[in-house]
Amino acid sequence: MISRRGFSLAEVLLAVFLCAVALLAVVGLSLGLLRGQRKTVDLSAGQAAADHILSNLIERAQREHDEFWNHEYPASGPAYREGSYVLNRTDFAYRMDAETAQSPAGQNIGGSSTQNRVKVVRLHLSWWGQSNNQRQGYGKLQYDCIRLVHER
Amino acid sequence: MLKYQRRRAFALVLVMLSVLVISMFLGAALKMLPVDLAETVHSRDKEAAVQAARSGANYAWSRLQENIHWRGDGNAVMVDTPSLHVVEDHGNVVGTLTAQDGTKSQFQIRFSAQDGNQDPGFFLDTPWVSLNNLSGSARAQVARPTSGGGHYPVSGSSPTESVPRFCADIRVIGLAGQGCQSDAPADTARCQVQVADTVLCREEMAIHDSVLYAAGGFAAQAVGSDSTQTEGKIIVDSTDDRMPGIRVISGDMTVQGQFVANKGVQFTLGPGGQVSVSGGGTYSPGHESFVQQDPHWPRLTFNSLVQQNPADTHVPGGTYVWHENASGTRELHYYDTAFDGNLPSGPPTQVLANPTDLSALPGFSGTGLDLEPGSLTTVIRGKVHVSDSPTGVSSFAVVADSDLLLAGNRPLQYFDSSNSQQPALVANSGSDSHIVLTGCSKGKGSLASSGQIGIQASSVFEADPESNIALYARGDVNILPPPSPQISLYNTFFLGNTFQLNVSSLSSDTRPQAPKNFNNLSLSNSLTDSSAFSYPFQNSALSLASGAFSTDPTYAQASSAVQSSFDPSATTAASGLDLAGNPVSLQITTPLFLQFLQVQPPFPLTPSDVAFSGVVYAQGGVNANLGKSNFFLNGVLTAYGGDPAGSYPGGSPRAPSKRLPSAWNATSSIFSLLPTNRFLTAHPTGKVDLKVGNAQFLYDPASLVPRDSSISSAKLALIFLAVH
Repeated sequence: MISRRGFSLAEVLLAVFLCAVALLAVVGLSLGLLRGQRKTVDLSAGQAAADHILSNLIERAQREHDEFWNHEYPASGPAYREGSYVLNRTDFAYRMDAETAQSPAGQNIGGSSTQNRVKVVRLHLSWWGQSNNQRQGYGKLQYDCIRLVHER
Repeated sequence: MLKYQRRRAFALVLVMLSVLVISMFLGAALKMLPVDLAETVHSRDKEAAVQAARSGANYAWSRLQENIHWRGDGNAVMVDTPSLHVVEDHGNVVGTLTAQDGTKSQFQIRFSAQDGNQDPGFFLDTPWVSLNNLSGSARAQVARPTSGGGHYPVSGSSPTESVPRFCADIRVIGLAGQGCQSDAPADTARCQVQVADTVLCREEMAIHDSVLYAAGGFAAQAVGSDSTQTEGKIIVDSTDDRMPGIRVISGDMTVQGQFVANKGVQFTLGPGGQVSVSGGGTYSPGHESFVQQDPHWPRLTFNSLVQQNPADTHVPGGTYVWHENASGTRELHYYDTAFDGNLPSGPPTQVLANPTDLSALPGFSGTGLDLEPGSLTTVIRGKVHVSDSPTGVSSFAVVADSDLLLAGNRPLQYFDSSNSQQPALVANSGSDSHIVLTGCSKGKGSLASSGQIGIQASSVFEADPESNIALYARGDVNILPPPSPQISLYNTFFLGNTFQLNVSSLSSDTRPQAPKNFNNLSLSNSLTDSSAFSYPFQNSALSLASGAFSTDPTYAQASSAVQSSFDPSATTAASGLDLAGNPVSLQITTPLFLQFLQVQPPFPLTPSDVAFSGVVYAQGGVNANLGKSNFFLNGVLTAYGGDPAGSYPGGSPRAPSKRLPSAWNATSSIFSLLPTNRFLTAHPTGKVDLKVGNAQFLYDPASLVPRDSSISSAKLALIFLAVH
């Protein structure tokens, strides 16, 4: 009889509880790690995507000279260009704004010389379709860059 | 009982050990996660710093293009918007960029002209220093700071690097990260740092790589300048360390004579084009189509030169002849006819006494042109347009009659750029609006003709190396040598590079003078009036020829005082010396033109050697028929073979060839002094045709850069940009 005696209920419950806590911690941390790695990968991809998009759009802007240089595209208005770009199976949504750099007196930087303006170009990149650029456990899913472009 | 208790304890120990292992795993994982994220942040900051450095380069590009003298000296807040804030302060520039998510990055530029003493609160202490040499016609040295105690001062012992002429070396520091989240100059030690090395040059310097552009082929016949040469030389060199090039679109490059390629010469011909040199040598040209070559060809459009404004001077077309009447008084004869290679016959349309009152001419207006018979000088001091004469003549020619030339007089065209407007003589009424000028050309300016240009170039002994004259013709450019007898007379007795000189009636007028007939001049008592030698010998390397004064004991004694260093620009201690009626033999060891350019030609010089500094640009062809005279060009010569406003070099649609009436080939007594009288001839479109003793081409793209000191803005080309 004695040899068939099992664990007490309390012992079993304690072991199960400890195992559950440990497993939950492992799972939770694994998820965190995965999220972190994914975010790292996405941010890196976002940088690459931003660089690519920015270069392409600036080159296009120089080509489509009038549309880019003779209009203003502030953040509060229509974008110069917006769209999506897929990299590493992630769909990046982008928006590019551009405003002519001016002095406090309202004069263009570059003076009155022809083809000598400077645009402040901002690119906003987000992914996973998050309108508020936030996702539980991931933080901000966006990448912003800014650059000055000289008219050619 | 004890046995089972041991088993239960073992189970708990197992669970506890498992939990411990899992905890260690979790701990390690927790440590790894921030590393990954930190790497991502580092990468993001680095990219932001790169973008900031590029932004600074773009900002500097715009500011320099607006004002080529800019050195970060706006001394104000230049931009103050939510996304961009730029401050310039005595050679220090700080720009802060704010992205949409609020993160900031910064660019900084420290100029060599940085003046920390004026604003010690805003002083960029960085090792990267920029230099603006866009208005400098010579290389400039920029001192690189040396590190000392965490600071980067520039001292007299700092190492230097040179910046090419007409270029700016801009070093922009891009900063990003936690240390630069304000508009104040960030500390480079607390930020990600990237540096953009940027070289911007005046566009003309940047893209033109050749001394000679010949769309329709290049043919040179070099016969040697005297009997010591069995064949002549064609020498190609450059004024600095750049490799000179020769570009041909269609046809071949053919040299009859020796070809000397200094500093390497890059031949670029059209498909199938060949280089052929009778003097030997194997040359392997590169081959490019006209489309590939196009970016490297100077594209000077005619309209960019000839734009008019109401203040321009207008002079009627016709032939203007320097004349000396029977009483020895010089005057100007105006003929309302086109110059056809002969002096106009019959009475002149108008005779203008010296000093001339050009307003008496029909249709003349303005103050940009003077024609001075006394000194045989044409002074162009603004933009001068040739308008149609009452009979519709749109060509413009200034020539001298035979008597004046035979007396050793030499006309002068002087482009006076002392006022703000670049002097230019423009004839553009129609395709027959030719320009013909005879005599020496000096100064800085341009000739532009919608027809042809025929110009009697300056002798190498009278040429000013600092002159910069552009010749632009929609048709052909014809370069003819100065008449050797005339140059000899003007130097009295010219034998090789030795001439004898009698001087008197010295002028104190330091402005470039028309060469005088020194035959009729003598010097009294002293050589103290240095102004007499201001032209053409000022600063020339002159020395007394062997045997000077030796036949007369008076002068043999005096000669020791002046022989060692005869410096016409300095007062010479030769008081009491009476040279009246006695010739002084002087020797030009090296003409100033060649001395200035540090050229030692390996062939004999002649009085009628042609020297030219500047740009020769023809939409048609270029012809230099100089006989045995040598040809020196410091600049760029282009036969575009079409209108650069509407076609590729040598490509369709080509400019119509400017065929001239047969009368242009008629012989003329007045120009019998010349080896050829062909001022205006037709040549294959885009072809460069040289018939010379020897020729030396010095590649100098700076000649394409406008030298007008009043220029403040200029197109710049990005030569180099590297971010590291």
